Amino acid sequence: MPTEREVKRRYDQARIDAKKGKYAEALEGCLFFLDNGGSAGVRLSYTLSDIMALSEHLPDARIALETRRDRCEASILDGSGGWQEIHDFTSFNKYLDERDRSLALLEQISHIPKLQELHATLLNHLWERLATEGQYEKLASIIEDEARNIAGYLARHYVVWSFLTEGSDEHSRDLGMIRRQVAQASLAYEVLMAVHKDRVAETLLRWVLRCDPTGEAEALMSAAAAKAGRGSDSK
Amino acid sequence: MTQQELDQRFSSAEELKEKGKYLEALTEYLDLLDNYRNPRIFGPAHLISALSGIIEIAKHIQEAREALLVRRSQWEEMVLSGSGGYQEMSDIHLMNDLMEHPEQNLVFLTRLANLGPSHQDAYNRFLKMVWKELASAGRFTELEPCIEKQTSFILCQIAQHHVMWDFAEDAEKGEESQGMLEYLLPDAILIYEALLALGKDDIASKLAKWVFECEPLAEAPPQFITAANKMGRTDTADALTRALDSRSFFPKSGNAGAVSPVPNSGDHSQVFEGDTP
Repeated sequence: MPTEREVKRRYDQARIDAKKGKYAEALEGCLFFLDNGGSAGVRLSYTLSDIMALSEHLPDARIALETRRDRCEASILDGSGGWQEIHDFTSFNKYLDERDRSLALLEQISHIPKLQELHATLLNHLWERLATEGQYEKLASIIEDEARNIAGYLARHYVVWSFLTEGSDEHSRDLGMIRRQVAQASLAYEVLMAVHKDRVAETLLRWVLRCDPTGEAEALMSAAAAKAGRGSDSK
Repeated sequence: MTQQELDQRFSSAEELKEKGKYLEALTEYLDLLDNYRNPRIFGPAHLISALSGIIEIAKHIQEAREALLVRRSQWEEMVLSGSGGYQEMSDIHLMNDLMEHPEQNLVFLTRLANLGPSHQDAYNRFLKMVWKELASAGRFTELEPCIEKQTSFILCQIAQHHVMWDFAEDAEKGEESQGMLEYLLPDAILIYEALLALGKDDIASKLAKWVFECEPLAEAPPQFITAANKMGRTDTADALTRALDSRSFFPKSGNAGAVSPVPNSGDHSQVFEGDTP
């Protein structure tokens, strides 16, 4: 079994190979990293992006990703897959630009009793898409957890941002990230208001207003309440 | 090896240990530790389990202690030679922690420091890991390069747990609050002491403000006053006491509506300055 160091070394080499035009070798190294536990934050973002870039030179790159995606899907359907396979599956579809396949699987497993845990996990991955489409009721079971996660992420980010030097590149970059999180929070707020989970909605609102250096949150949250048909409840 | 197979081998190592088959259990743990450290299946819990298992075995057979010390030396040499990095430093720190040898962490830190600029990166990384040992030993000056990041880190944890507390149902709040008081407050106080010792009063003030506005840490203010006194900062302790008496740093009461005022927006001007949480 390859060690963490070996896995990382192979990926570093793959990126060098790609720059030199050694695409087959680069693909081999990327897939090795993907299949052997490269760090989670990297393998499902940079590595997938690298593989799709390689697919412009090497059709096998896309096929390799499709094969892995199909394997994940099969393992989810037969119940042997878990959180990791769901995470991989949705990420593969994102980079293959086939996000509808994730929604199709969600629908497919929604009525299979033994797969309800996986269904909830898949919902967690797809909630923003469903919320944007106004499918609030489908999200009623998971939106409270999402709201708590978003508030936690936002609060941590706000703390880090408050320690950065004003005017620095990091300060501006992180402000942009906070702005995106506030937007995400307003979407969760919209769902919470729509499904009448008011206690959690209020808690989320408090944290968003508390951790908003942009001054834009209040208007966003009010708009979200209105979109959920609860505009009159928002003062 | 799959995750399931790895878990099974850990179970059998544990079983061997429980049956008193120490040498066999040790061999099993060491094989897992040395040969199966793949991040996809071998997580931090496995590392803790392997090291704790070996430490327990060391109470019965000498070979276990020697095996641990050999590995610690190997990891230290890897860091010193440049062939090892974060993983090895983290392993050294965890092993010393589990063996209740915190002083060994400071010995290794000093070794890195003595190697000068060529080992600056490794020194900085290990410094962040051993900040508590340094602060507890009163070696505050050495914390200067990392104290701001460490303050930000502890505040992130406090903020995260405060969120979880706030979202929890009333029945669950007690447990969440207890965890914060037990694990986060002591770290926050240690950092506060270090900040005062280093003269970083503005950051100390920011830390105190966040903590005092954290409802589940309601027991914190008196402990911060004690910390300020301990550091010889009676001026700060007096200011905190006055604020505590007048309750000027506590949140103003009021319920949030659908769009409501920012919570905990009391006037902190008497004690606090700088950024507001």
